[in-house]
Amino acid sequence: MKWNKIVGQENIKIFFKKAIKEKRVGSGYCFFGIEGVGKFATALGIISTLSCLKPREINGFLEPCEECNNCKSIENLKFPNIEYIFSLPAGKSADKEEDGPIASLSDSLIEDINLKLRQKIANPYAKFKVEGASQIKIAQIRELRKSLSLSNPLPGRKFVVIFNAEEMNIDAQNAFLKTLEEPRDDITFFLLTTRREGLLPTILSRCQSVFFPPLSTEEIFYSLSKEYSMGAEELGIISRFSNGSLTRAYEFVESNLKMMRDKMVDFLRLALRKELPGATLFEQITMFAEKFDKREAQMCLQLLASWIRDVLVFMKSCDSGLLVNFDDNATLVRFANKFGPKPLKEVIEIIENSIYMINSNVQIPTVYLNLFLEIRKVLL
Amino acid sequence: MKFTVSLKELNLALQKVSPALPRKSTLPVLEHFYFILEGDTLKIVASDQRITIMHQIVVNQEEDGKILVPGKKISDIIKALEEAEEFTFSSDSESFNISIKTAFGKYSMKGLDYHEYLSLPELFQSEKPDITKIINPIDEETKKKAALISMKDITWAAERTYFCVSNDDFKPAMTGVLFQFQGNKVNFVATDGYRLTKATVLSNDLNVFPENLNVIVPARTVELLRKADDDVIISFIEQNEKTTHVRFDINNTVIITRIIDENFPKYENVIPQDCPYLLKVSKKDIIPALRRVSLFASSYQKLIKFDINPDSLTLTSEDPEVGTQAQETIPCEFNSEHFLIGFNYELFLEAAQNIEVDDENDTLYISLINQTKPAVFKPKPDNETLLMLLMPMKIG
Repeated sequence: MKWNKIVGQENIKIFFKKAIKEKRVGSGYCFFGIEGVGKFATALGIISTLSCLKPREINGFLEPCEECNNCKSIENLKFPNIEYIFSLPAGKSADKEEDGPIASLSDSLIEDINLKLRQKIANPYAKFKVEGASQIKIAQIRELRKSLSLSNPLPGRKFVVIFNAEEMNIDAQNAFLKTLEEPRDDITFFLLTTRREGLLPTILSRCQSVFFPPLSTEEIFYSLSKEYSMGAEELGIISRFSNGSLTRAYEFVESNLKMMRDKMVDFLRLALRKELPGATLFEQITMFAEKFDKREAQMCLQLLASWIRDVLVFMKSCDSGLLVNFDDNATLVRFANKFGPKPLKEVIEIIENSIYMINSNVQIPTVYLNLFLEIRKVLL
Repeated sequence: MKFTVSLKELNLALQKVSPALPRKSTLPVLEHFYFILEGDTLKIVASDQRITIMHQIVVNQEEDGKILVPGKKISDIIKALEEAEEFTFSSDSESFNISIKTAFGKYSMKGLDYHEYLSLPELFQSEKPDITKIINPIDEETKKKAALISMKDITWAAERTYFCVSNDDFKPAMTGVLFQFQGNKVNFVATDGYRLTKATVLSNDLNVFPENLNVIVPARTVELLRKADDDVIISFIEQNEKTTHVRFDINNTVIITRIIDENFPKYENVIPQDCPYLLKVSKKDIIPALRRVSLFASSYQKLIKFDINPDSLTLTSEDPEVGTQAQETIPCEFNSEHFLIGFNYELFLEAAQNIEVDDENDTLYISLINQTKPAVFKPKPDNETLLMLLMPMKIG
């Protein structure tokens, strides 16, 4: 993983390049920031540079060669000096001591984990989530302790990467604290998290925290345009929609963003009709429930929220350069003229609440119906 | 790759390396055996990244080659092929198809490219030490790095220490057995904080041990050494001038293990030097009596009181919660007046069972200091090769 593959985050890159050059890489780091801003990419950059057998010096800083044995085995997951920790679904006999936490999982799930981990290493901005998993359990931390007490399999530093560290349950965090408290000088921990407040203060105080700010729209646009051959207009919308997260941008690329947004604007139109649209509403809501899964249903709501946000921005500034939905000005202007004085901020709150409801496993039709009625209540 | 081999031999070989094959792993290559055929030697490797085992057997070679063979599949088919006496194994180095032929059947499966396997430098770059060099003390270099221990000694030491290892992850140093090389002897020490055993193997004239070398070998590896079927050559693999792996060569098997990179507790300080009291009791008397009395003890506290008199030992237990009580008196020899001490019966039984006594009376020698200091178990008072410590329990 070369440094130039990390999108943006120039200050952080310089900070770690210097740390590596001056041989003062610490024993514990907590990387925090929203999803898809390069936390794992940076960790991988540091690990590759420190583990590479023939690092090259470019502009005074070290770069991994990506050709030596170590660099290659990092890529195909076989580098024994790295341990990855992430949430696992509960197995049948989840906490059986001897076999470790992996043994209780089904073969297909292990295959899936392997595949996702490979994808994550090939593209550090890819989404990494094991299906049905929500907790890093104490058994995993125990297994980690066991493995860390052994001598390093290969010469050099050993690394532990914890994805979504806030998913460690409280027992696991306390057990982990003990490991973090007595660091060996040849181990570095990377705790990657989107919610730093989910970690115990005692853990945070033993790590150096590094904040990863959201990426700029230009950085995302540039990085997407290198990989995808979409039109500039569409990429422009996606990079604005992604709110500084490259992972989210990738998700948007894969789904038909414009279609989803248009569907949501139609839904809004429907909600603002004077008479209650019985059958059409039923049709629309069934369509949402059938066509979109949980994640997509949330994405639709995010799109609607950003559209309303645009209306607010347009009303304040009349500057279409600040808009996310810059391709559909006319509808925006019409909506702004008609509903401008109404409390649009409340509508955004209603939408955010709906996103939260979907997260809490409320049925999608219920959420959309509720959204429909609430919007009517506020705007009509 | 193509070879013919007797089923029995291959089955035995796979059993030797299987302990290092992980049942499940996020790394699919680890669930494979690595077969390397060079001339008529077939090397079989398995590794779970902590322990690596290689075993070699002689086969009728037809074509050299290397391949990764699905571990569970091959073990299962070989177990199920009881009736076949020998079989032919062949694999294609491009399609990685493996086929097994017996007199009555044909089985095929998919292997993996051997390039996918771990690089395992500790195995492929280390060599079996030359025995003649270990025995010949002139060679300083080998002397530092290798030792020869007879099968009898290593299995004895592993057996005596294995049961005492802690399984508490928060005390990683205690989850293995300390191999402590000191001049003409090597101490094998294990402790879990409540008890400790130390088994010492002395060198003979022909064999010189490395000087002042300490390594903690994980319990799993010690368990494998319990089953050693030949003399063991121990050698140490260094990386950046730090010992990182221990290599055990047992006849045609190589076991390589990562060591526990922690400091073992300074156990010497805990071993009492002068014990004023000595209890002599026959194992034949105390073990069955203890078993009976323990049935009535609290299963939570596990306390049994030892009321010791010059010629009798009374064991008492009680469980006030369910209202059970037991008492038994057995003969003993004690060098003082009345003495009262309490022990956890499980730990006491394990210690008593693991001390081998060689005299006809089966006498166990237990040295005592007071109610809070550890008791020392020995096969004989002057025996220096085996020692077990047991912490007493508070008597309420």
